[in-house]
Amino acid sequence: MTRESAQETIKQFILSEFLPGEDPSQLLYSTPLITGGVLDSLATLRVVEYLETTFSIRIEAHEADVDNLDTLEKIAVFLEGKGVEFQ
Amino acid sequence: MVSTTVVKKEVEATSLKLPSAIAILSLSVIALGLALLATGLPGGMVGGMGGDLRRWLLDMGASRSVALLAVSIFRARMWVGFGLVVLGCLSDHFLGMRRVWEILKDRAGSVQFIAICFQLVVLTWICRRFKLEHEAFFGPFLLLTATGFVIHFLLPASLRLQFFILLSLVAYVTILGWRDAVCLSAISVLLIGLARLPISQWVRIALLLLTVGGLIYLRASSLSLPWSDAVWPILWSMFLFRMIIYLFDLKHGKAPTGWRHALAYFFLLPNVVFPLFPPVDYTALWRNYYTGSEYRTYQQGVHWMLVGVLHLLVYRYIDYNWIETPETIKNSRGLLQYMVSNYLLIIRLSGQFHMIVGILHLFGFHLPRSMDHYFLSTGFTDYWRRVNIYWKDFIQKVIYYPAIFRMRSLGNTAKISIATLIGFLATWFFHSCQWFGLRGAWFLSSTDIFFWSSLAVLVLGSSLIEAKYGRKRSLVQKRATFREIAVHGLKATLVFVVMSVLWSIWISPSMSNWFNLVVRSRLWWVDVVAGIAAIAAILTSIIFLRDRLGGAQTALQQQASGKSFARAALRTVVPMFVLAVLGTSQGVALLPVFAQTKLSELRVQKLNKKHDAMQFQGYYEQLNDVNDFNFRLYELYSRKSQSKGAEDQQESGRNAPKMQDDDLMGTQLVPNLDIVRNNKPFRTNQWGMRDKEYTSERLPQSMRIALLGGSISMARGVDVEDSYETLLEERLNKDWGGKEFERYEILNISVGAHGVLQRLGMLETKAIEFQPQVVFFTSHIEDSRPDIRHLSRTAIEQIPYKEVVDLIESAGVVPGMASEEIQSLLFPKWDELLTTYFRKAVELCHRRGIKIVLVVIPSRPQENDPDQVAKLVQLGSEAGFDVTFDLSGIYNGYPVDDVRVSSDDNHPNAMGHRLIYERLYRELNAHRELFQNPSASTTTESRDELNQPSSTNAP
Repeated sequence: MTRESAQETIKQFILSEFLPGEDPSQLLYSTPLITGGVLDSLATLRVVEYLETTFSIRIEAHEADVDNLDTLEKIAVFLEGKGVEFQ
Repeated sequence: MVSTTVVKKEVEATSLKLPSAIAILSLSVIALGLALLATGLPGGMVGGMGGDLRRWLLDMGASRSVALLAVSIFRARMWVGFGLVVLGCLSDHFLGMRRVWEILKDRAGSVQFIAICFQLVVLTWICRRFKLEHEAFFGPFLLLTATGFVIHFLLPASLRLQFFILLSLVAYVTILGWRDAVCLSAISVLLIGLARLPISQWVRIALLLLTVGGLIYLRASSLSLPWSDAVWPILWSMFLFRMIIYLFDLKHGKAPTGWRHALAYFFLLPNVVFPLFPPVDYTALWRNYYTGSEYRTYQQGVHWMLVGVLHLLVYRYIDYNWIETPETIKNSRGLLQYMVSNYLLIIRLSGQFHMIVGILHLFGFHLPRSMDHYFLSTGFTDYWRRVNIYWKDFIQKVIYYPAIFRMRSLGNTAKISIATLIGFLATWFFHSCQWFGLRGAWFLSSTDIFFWSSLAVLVLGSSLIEAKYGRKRSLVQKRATFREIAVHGLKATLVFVVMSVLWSIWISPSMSNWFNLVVRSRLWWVDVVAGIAAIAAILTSIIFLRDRLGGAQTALQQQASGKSFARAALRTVVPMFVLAVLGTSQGVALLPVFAQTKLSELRVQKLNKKHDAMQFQGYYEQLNDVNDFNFRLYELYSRKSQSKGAEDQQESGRNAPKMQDDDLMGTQLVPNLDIVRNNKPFRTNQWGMRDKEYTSERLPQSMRIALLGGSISMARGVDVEDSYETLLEERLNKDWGGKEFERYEILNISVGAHGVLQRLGMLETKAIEFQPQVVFFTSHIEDSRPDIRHLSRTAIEQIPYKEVVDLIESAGVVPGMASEEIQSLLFPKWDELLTTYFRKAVELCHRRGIKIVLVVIPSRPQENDPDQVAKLVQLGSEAGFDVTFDLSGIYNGYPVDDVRVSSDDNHPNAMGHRLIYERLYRELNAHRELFQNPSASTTTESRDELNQPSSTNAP
């Protein structure tokens, strides 16, 4: 899986779970998700669950924050830091 | 691991060369010059500060010549300021780093900077004009902030953080004084040092807990400390939450680890004037430090400060006009108004938090908003996310997420439920800790527990529903349909109404007290429905307007739209200009008359009716009774702690003035007391009077007057030498002594919070023992509240006057009735009660040949109720007082602040007491027949004869 495809996968998850009916082109890789109000605490937990399941990683409580999950780009960087290898 | 970005910032910061001392000095001189120029602008932006400056310097220990020099410079500030700016620019250009030249080269930036400075000056003026919050805030603090902002901006980026720390420390010294600031700093450095020790996290936590335990012990003990009680609320608010966050972030390597970052974080500038402080996140603080355009950050800060000002003004309007005392509530409408208006007072918290976050923006901290239109919440989870966002983030980070992540094996419902309840338990606990820091004693309240429990259940229920069904989110704002707006309005109304009810419970002394209030109101469903419909209409209208006017943007859109400086400045400058105009006399004159009155009221600091009554009742004398988590009380109490007079021994929790409890009297002063109370020495003589020593037997050829009163006559808040009683006694002896009588004595038998019945009891059991020839029986038009409150808490069998008991029973009072219900039954009987008291007092005196004078003193300087005064005088006359001295109007022509102790304490100050004494002396002079033919007996036998119980109902 490439980095872009990973971001795209996560993007589709977010669109389907939290933004049904929204224009996908409005959700950019740099769109702030937590600080932008798209993901609240409950939604963030679901994203964490999704990432753990999809990428076989374990995320700690202190890692579920703005620094790591605020944008799709940051999520990709975070995943790399957790050992996920992209092609 | 610390993130790459953070490391980069730190390296960049430390690799820059330090500028010369001349450059720093030059920029400081320029900033000082600009500040002086601003204060000298036409319109008297800070007119009248010369006197404040002189007083401040003298209080800080400066000599008179230094103070005089400073005032002279201040008076010539326009010329001095201009000179300093020129001097600073020249020295910076030729000897420094040419920083001013660099700034001026950036023309767009210079214009933006000047625009921001202009807005800051106007904001400072508005805060001062409306006397927002307290004197320390709208006086030295805001001036320091504005001047500091200019210097901070002129400095190179590498020095700004250090300067911010220095500015914060200067603010602490300015507001708290040297000694307290040094002690606070020492304790702070110790705590930060312990948190940063290069040892295991658990050992550090253990050491910190030990140290905090020691501080808690000191707080609760009666040991004499090198710092005043003013330090405690600030210290607590600096470290209670931020230390937890700091330790958390240090453990997870999430933010800068340098000392200066820690110092800047804990010594956040606005904390010194806002003890109720949002739990700013350490990582968020540095993540948002100088991100994006600095001018945009500063402008956003000014905007938040303006929003804060508007909130504080709205709060003040509600506080002054809508808040009523609970015992006056008699119907559904009154109850609804009581609930809604008290809930709306939360606007003050949002005003303060907006102000705090705005000020931090001025120094580069582009923090997110602290509150987000919480009155428009669509559910309780939404409410929790909008009201006090920093608190929500704190609990989420430190409690909620760690709890949830530890319960991975559980289902979603169980995880969310347990974590939410733990989060609210922590919230309740931390709030209790906050109050301990303020009061020095733990406080358990059923209403407090009920409030947080109920909110926890509501938020949990809402969260579970949201977890199951989701909620609507959007990337872009779409125009809402009428149906959507109506549904939003209904949801917001539900949340608003429930929170109003919960809030009214929270501020009640007890659950039974609240239930009695509701029962007493005799709820009528028509009123309730109409009230809720009105709330729904208002909220729905606001939602509609926001939607149509573009205010209801998504957070993403708000971030995008915030790019234009000019547009951002305009949305601040326009309302600011309107507010500034309304702050001038010319602006006020443009309004209709009723609006002029309301606006003028907003420029004055005063207590609302409820807290004024509480203060008059002496509520603050017994702080353990205060169950009101109203932030105003928090502020008042913490300001009591912060006021100068470091030796003040606070009453709550330690060094209480040891008032004796007596069932009828309630309290009396303990004899031979020598403490500090309300910042003044408080001594009592061997008889338990706040007065000098007197013999029990009246000496021959002396005229003895017994003074019976409450806190005003007891001279609360002033030195006894400045009290009207002392002044009058001295004057009488000076002018009349050695003539008809050798000496004149006025025995002050007044006790704070005593109502009329208690004064009557003191007359019979104490005053008469000293064989006065004349009795001064004081009264106020506000006497009904403390008296009826006391009556409602006194067992009927303790009342020795049959007439009073008969009257109480005729009002329908029966044993076992709740206090608030008794009060509501007795208030309509006040005139009859008062007449009974007066007649009893007259009878007691006349039987012994004592002349008795009714002295009517205004309850507060602003009092203006001639009808009530006339009624009081008439009741006195009908009851048979020998003469009535009506002292109403004694404060006419004097600014309120000149005659009262403080904006939070309406008791007369030394000037106020002088006015009372002068009027009393004139009245006595016109009624010298009072001192003629004194016929009060001095023999023991006749005293015993006369002192037989005056009622067949004596215990």
